[in-house]
Amino acid sequence: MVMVNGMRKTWFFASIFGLVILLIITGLTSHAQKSPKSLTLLYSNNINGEIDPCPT
Amino acid sequence: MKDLRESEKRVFVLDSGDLLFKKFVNPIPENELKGMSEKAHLMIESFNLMGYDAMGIGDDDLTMGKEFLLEISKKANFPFLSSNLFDEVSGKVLFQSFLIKETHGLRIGIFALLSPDFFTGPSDPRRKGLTFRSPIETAQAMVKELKPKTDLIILLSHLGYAKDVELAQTLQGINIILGGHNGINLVYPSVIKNTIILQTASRGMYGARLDLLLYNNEPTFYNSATKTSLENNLRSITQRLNTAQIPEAEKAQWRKAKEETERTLNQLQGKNVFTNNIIPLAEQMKEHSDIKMLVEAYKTKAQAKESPVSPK
Repeated sequence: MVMVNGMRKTWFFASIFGLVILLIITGLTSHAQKSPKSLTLLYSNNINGEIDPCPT
Repeated sequence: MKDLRESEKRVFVLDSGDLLFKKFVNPIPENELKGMSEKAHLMIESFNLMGYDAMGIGDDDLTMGKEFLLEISKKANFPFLSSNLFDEVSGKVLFQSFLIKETHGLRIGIFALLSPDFFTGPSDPRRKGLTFRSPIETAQAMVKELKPKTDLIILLSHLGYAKDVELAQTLQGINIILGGHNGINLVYPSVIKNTIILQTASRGMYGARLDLLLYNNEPTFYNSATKTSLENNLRSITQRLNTAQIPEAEKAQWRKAKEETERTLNQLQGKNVFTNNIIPLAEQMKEHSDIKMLVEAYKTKAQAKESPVSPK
C-alpha cells in the first residue's frame, strides 16, 4: 500500500515536471517567433555636392 | 540620424554615389579645381561625422579623375565600394569590391556597381585610366561570393532605375537595391522577384529610411503599406456589410470580398516586412553642430576668394 502511494506520488511529480518543461519550451518558441530581427537603413544618392537645404 | 543610432543598434547608413560634385557637363576649369577639391573634402568630412558605413561610386564622383578619388577615399572613415571598376593599366580593382557587416547575428553583404553607359564615350575625361566589367556578370559573381557568407545582400547601384529593374528580373539573390543616378523619389518601392528597389531625389532634398523586420530566413518581403491598405479595405467592407439597406445579392458580393481580404491578410502573417519613408529635409530640421561649423567655415572661405578686398 505504501509502495503504491509512493509510485503515485512519483508519477504525479514527474507529470508536473514534464508539464512545466513543456510550458517553458512552448513559451520560448512563441517568444522567438514574436521577436523578429530588425534592421534600419538610412540611404542617400545624388547629393551632387549640395550643401544648402533645397526647397522640397 | 544621431538619435536613431543611439536608440537602435542595427542601423546602416549608405550612399549610392554622385556625392562629391555637381552633375558633369564639362571638365572643371583650371581656376575652379581648388575650390571643387575643398568642397569634396567637406562632403567627406561631413559623411564621416554622420557615421556613413559605405558609399558606392557614381560617374560624377569621377569628375576630378581616378587619382583624386583614390586620394580622397583615404580621408573617409568608410569604404568607397565598386565591384566593376578596374585600373586600365594594372587590371586590378580600384576600390573595395564588397563589404560584409555583422550586427546582432545578422550578416549583411554590400557591393556596388557603376554603369559605363553614363560616360559620353572613350573621350570622357572622367573615365580616363579606367575599365569596366559587365555590371550583370559582376553582380552574378558577387551574389555567388556573398550568398554563402551573408543573410542579406544589398547592392549600391549606380546603373539607373531601368537597369536596376532589369537586374532584379534577371538575377536572384540581391535583397535590396539602393539605386542612384536618376534621382527619383521611390516613395512606394517596387519589389521585383524578391528584390526591393529604392532610390530618392537628388541634391539631398530628402532623407530616406528603410526599416526591415525579419521573421524568417526566406528572401521574401512585403511592404507594410500593403497591409495598411488591406486593413483599411477590410474596415470599409465591414461597414458596408453592417448597412441594413443593402440588397442581399450585394451583401453576398461584399462577404466574398471580405473573405478574400482576410485570406490575403492572413497570408502576410509571419512574413518579412519593410517600411520605406522618404522625409523632406527642411531648413527647420535640427542640424549637426560640427557639420554646420564646417559648412560655415567653407562658405566664409569661398566668399573671401570670390570677393577679395581690393587695394585702395
